[in-house]
Amino acid sequence: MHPPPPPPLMFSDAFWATASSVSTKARTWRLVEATNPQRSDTLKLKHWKREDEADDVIRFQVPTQTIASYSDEEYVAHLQSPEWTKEETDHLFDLCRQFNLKFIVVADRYDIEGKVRTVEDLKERYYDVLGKLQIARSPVPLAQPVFKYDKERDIQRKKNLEALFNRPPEAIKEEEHLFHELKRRELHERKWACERDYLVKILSNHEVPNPLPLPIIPGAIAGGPFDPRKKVKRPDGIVPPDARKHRAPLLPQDSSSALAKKDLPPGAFLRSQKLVLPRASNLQSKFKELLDEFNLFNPPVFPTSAVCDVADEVRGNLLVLMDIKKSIERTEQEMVSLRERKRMLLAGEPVVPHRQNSSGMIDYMESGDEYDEAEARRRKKSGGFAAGGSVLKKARLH
Amino acid sequence: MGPAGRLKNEQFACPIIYGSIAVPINPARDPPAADPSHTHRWTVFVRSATGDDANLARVVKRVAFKLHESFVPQQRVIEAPPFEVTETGWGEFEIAIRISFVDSQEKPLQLFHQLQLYPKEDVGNPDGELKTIVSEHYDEIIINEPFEEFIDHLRTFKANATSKKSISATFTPQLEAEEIKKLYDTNERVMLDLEKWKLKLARVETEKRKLEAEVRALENDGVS
Repeated sequence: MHPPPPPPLMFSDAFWATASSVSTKARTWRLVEATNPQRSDTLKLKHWKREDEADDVIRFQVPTQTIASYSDEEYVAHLQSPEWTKEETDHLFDLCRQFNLKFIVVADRYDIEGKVRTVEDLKERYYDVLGKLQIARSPVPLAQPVFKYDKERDIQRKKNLEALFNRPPEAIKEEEHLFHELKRRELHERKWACERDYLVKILSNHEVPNPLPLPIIPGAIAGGPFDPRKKVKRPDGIVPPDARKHRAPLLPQDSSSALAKKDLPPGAFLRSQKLVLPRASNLQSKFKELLDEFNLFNPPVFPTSAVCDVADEVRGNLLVLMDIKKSIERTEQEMVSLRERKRMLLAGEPVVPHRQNSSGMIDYMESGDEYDEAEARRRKKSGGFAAGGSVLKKARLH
Repeated sequence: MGPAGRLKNEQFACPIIYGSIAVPINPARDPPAADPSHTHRWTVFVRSATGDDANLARVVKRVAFKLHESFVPQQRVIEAPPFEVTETGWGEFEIAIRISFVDSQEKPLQLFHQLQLYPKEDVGNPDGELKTIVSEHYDEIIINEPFEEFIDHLRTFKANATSKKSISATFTPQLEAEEIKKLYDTNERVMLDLEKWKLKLARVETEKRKLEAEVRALENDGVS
């Protein structure tokens, strides 16, 4: 029976590392016999060696630590401590020498009557002695030793590791989830930032009163396929200028119009089929719900160029509305995890080290609704339908 | 550069009306249907919205109507105007309409029409069975960036399409104006809604930033 593998200290996307390179040929390994020059006897031990590698017994040799020693005079002069007697210190250094500075073993073999010393206690004394000797022996005066052992910190470090090791499986699972979530967010961060910028731009556009002259909606009155003789009054009672000149190209090419600047594909299609629509297919059903909510026919009942232009304006605004709603949703999700984090911090529960990242690790689950970058670009390029929308609103109805 | 042979900055629109008209068969007056169970004589059509089918034929080469499988032949290909099929039957079904263009490089257009024989609200209409049912849709075929070979046809089409009135009683300039007015009104509502959500977003973002600052402060406390 194997114990379950310890939980990982850190999650990593080591996916590539685990994907073995099946394409390369298997290498040959041989069982070889060798003696270790570090040993005093001639014991021969066997080990596996890759054929294409030089045999290195060094691999099995343990680097020997040089353990400092001190004279009695030095001890009296520099190394006295209220906590440690000379005998105890000597015992510690003997064990260090004997076990090659393996403090775990040293602590295990430590045997002084009536004394309980933890690994940290031993380390503290050992490095304290070392530091003091270093200062005492240094030809130039040293303010402090090169290495100083911080016992409290080491204890805390071990505690942390312990806590990390003893996490319940749910916590590990959640952490893993968060890790992947973070990865995903990092991946999308730029996109989302883009989206936010875009939204901010749109929102500010909405606030700026448009100084442009009222755009003529080409064909709104006299365009389209028909040529009504009489001029229909607009809702605001203004008789539009002769729109006849707008008839020439069926879709206006003039840049003064904020409308109908769609990148249409070459070829034949129906006008009603080329209305503004979110390109991501999963957003489309949401969009259709929104159309229904506003009692908009899809396609419009009478899809002339004028009707479609205005319909596109409205639909563009609906897309902005959808974006805003999505941003709200996302922000609210972020707040849920922030609140949870706050609660944990206040309760003093251990929290996963947090990256100083405004987005942070959140458990926001994106239900696969990808923001359509292309769509955003397209809308950006066309000057933003919403900007046009505000023009439309102000121009036509006020 | 677009695809070879396509003319940039050229776009043509052919307004069409497609749909069906169904008349109940009056045995006393009308010639009987081939099948006695047939109750209606109907026509499915694609017409020029301006009523000039000959002109439409400068752009549209043929229209294929795919009827219900019980009709033989199921596929009716009409090579010249009027682009329509008249049949008798008793059931409603969806008809696939395929419009091919004079320039065969242009991919045919596919549209669908639900054949309608019976009035939608048959309650409170005792003589509903004897009504003529017209179900038609307006749309515009857009030829965007046509091929060079197509341009002359399209130009002739356009030259001949001017100053023509809609033949439809439904799709009138008045309806267009009404539709536009309706869209403006809807837009007004959308803008109001937008304003509301925009405020909410601002509120939520402020709240989130506050929370973020709090969490960061707590974290820094923990570190020091």
